[in-house]
Amino acid sequence: MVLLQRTIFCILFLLVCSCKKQEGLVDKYTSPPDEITTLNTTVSAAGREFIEIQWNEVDNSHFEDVSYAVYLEGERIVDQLSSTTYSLINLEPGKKYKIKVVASTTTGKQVEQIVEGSTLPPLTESEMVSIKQYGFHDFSTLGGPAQLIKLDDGGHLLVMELLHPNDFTHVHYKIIVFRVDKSGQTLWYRLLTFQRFNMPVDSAIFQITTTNGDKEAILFTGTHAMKLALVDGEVLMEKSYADVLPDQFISSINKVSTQEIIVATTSTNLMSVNPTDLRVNWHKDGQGLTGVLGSVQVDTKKNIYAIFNDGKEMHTPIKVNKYDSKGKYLRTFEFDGRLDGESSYGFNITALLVDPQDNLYLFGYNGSYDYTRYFKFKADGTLIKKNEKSEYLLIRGAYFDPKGNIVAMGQVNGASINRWGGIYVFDKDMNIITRKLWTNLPSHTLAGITSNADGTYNVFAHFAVTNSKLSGFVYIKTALDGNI
Amino acid sequence: MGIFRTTFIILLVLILWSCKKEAQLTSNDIAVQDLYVTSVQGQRVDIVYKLSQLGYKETGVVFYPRDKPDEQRKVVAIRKDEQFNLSLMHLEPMKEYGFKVYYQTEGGEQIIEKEHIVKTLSATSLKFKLEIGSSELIIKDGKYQILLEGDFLNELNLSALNIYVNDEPATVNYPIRIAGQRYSMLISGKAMSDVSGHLITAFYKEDEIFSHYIPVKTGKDNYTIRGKAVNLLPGWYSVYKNDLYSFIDEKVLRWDETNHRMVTLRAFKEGYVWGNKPCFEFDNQMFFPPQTRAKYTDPEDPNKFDRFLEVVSYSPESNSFNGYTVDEPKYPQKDLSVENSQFFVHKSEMYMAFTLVDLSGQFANQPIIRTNFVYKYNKSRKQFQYVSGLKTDILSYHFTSINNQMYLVGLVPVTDQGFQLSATFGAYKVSDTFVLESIFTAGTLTKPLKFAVKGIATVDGNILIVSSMDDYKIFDPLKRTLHQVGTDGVLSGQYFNGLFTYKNILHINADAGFTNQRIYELSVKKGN
Repeated sequence: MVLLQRTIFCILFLLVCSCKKQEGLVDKYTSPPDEITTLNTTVSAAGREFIEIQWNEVDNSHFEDVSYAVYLEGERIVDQLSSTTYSLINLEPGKKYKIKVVASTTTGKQVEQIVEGSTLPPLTESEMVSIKQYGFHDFSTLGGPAQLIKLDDGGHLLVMELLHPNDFTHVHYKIIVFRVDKSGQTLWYRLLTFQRFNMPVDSAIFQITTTNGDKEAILFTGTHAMKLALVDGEVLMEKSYADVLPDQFISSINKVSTQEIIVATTSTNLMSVNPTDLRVNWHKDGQGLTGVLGSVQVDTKKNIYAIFNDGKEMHTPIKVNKYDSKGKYLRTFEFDGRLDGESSYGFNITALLVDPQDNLYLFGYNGSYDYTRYFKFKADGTLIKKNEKSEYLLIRGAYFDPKGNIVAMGQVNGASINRWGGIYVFDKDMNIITRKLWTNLPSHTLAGITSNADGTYNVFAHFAVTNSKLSGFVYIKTALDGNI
Repeated sequence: MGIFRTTFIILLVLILWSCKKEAQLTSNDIAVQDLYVTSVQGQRVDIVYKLSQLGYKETGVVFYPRDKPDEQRKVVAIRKDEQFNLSLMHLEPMKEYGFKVYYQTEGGEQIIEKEHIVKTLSATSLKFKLEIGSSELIIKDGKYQILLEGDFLNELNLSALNIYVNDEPATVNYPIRIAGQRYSMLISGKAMSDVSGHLITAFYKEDEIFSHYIPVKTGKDNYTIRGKAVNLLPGWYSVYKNDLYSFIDEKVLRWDETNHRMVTLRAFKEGYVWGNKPCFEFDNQMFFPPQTRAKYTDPEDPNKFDRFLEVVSYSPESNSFNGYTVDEPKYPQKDLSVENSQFFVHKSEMYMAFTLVDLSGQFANQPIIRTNFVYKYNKSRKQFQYVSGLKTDILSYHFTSINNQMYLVGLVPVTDQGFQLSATFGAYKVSDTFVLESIFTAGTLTKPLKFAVKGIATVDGNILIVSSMDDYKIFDPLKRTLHQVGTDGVLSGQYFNGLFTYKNILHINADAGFTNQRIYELSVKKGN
């Protein structure tokens, strides 16, 4: 019993001792510091009017929520952000901005970082694609074959058809001549009747050139020429050649000098006209040839060349007539447009050019497969080069650009009724150095193209009504290399 | 007293019965008007509409996923200020739904068959819960401003947000916190004219997250035309002393109101008159439009004839026809046709105006030669006397006389650089000697306002113009203003067959000769 008592006493003593020992321990715990991790902010994207920034997610050692605020040039733009991406908008192009991101906890811990970001520089003129849609009235539309020339001031002079309702007359077509400045803004327009030119609407072919130092323009159509003031479109002079050119229409012109415009017709006639008074310098009839002359050109020796289609064969061959400086017929060159293994189903040859070395360049497409055809030949008809493989551009016209390269413009046909414009740029050896097809645009028909010295192009095209931006007759100034 | 009480009760019953009969509706009487899908979200679509007239007990829509048309649900609309509001809720994001308006009358439920289609937005839209902060689009200094509200708009990466108003990009501004997670965002752009409303759409990272339509509110100066279908037998009608006449199938017919049938009064030979235009009542006669006729001078040669113009009238009192030759000035022996003709009364005198058109050059790309003539009817001599040629180019013209002042309305040329390129609505004040003074030309050279002037009527000193069965305009000749007239949706039809006034109420005849012919009573109300 005593043993039991002693044992209990001992246990109690030990317990008391151990308790005394626990009371003597010190709480040595220290809370980790209330810290937040650092910010690492970067400019992740920038446009001409916005800068997008991103930053890492900031952690708080005390597990408090972290929110973000963004400041632009010291002004708070947004706060209470939980995401780690933000865009600053409505900025000026080409400007550097100071952007501060502040990460904060609910307990007031903050970390901040300032970064600099720049918007992209404003587009230079050569980078900018500008679009201008033409419409002279709500009720009228522009259509038909268009002819255009680039003026010295960078603007253009265009001639085409204006279609309008025929409420008070059976006639619902007019010829419209209009001038636009280099930004595509219309400066003036002049309406003319087809009757005035003795020209049926169905056969409308327009030819236009400038004269008198770009102060005047001469429009040829039907058997008629009309001189207009380029400043306001006033009709200055008119001349009918109906007596000289019976039963035919003017199909092509080439201004050779200030004294001479060579005129070719749909009946193989050639005529020289003085641009000053529109009088006939000389006239040559068909000289035994009947057919349509097109794309008349003159070499340095004043020899005259024109694409010739006599319409005698079911499958039109490729022919070019050569005449002397007074229109005397010299000879006809004929070229084989077939590629290896092809049969001939005729060709649509549309453009002829002559370079200062009197080399000639011929462009068009074949009549059956819709493939490009081009040739280079000497003034005596010797073939220098022709295409050896098919290309898809149906070339409708060509010109020398400011660098001396040849720009051939045309169409490519897609499925159904889709059509797109495009250009091939050839060097003088007839190598294609640029192929640009605007298949990224809605279906359209090319009306004409000119080049600018900076490598951009002026494109005029008819768009089907597809959306509000690109419908009707539209002018597009492309970016460099024809990019749109 | 007993008889009086009985009579009184019978009368009361009759009145009540007639009232009840008046209020009965046919299914075609109620039409949906001004239906707009005002808001589309990921799971909800808001719709407003109006019904053309009273008589419904309930209305709403039935809706269904378009790929599962059997899964129909019904939503009852709530009427507020004559407009019904409802929301399709608990929808699936990015899904196409169809809906049709229904209404219930005493006769049962009618579903209007026209299907409306709407597609809900993406699930992304659910997070931001965008909505229009203001019910109207504010236009100031040539710019519009709209306030968008939504949740967590501060979280939007704004360079990925594209907002369009009627497909034109809008300028977006930074969101501003309203309260809690709610933010507002101002969007702005160049104000658009000639739009019936503004469709605001928002895309975030290619997802459409918002679509909302704000209709343009019409002012109190606008007019509304209401039509009420009447139960007249199909046909072409003219009115004489409040009796209805018809001249079809070579018979003169009169409406017998007592026996509810047409009574044949007499016959006439084929082609003598054409009853497909309302006759003009004057001098106890009903005048038919003038017709060109040929009098053959050589029985052996059908190419030898004299052309003349004849006006025929019918006299109901004597049940006889009268022919008036109109031969001065002499008409050229060309292929002429009467293009436009009209009778009108000014200062108690009847005038006739018509246009002869020379059809011989129509295929030769030649200008159309039209000659206008005005004649005055001499009551005592019973003849038409030439008054004037109308010395202006005008198409589809109509004269009217309001408070002893003559007016002429029609389509006048739009001339550019001397060429008549199109036509626009024009109005003239006309002196008693038919000298014209232009008082109104609609639109501009580049944007004229061309519409058919098919019929006119005088309404409260203004000229009501019928352009088609669903297009009406009011020209106020004193203020020289033209107003588009809103329609109630009841008036419908493909062909306008004339206006006539019967029992002092203006009527319009549509699609005469077709099985769906309708005749409506017309009333024009100013204001909305």
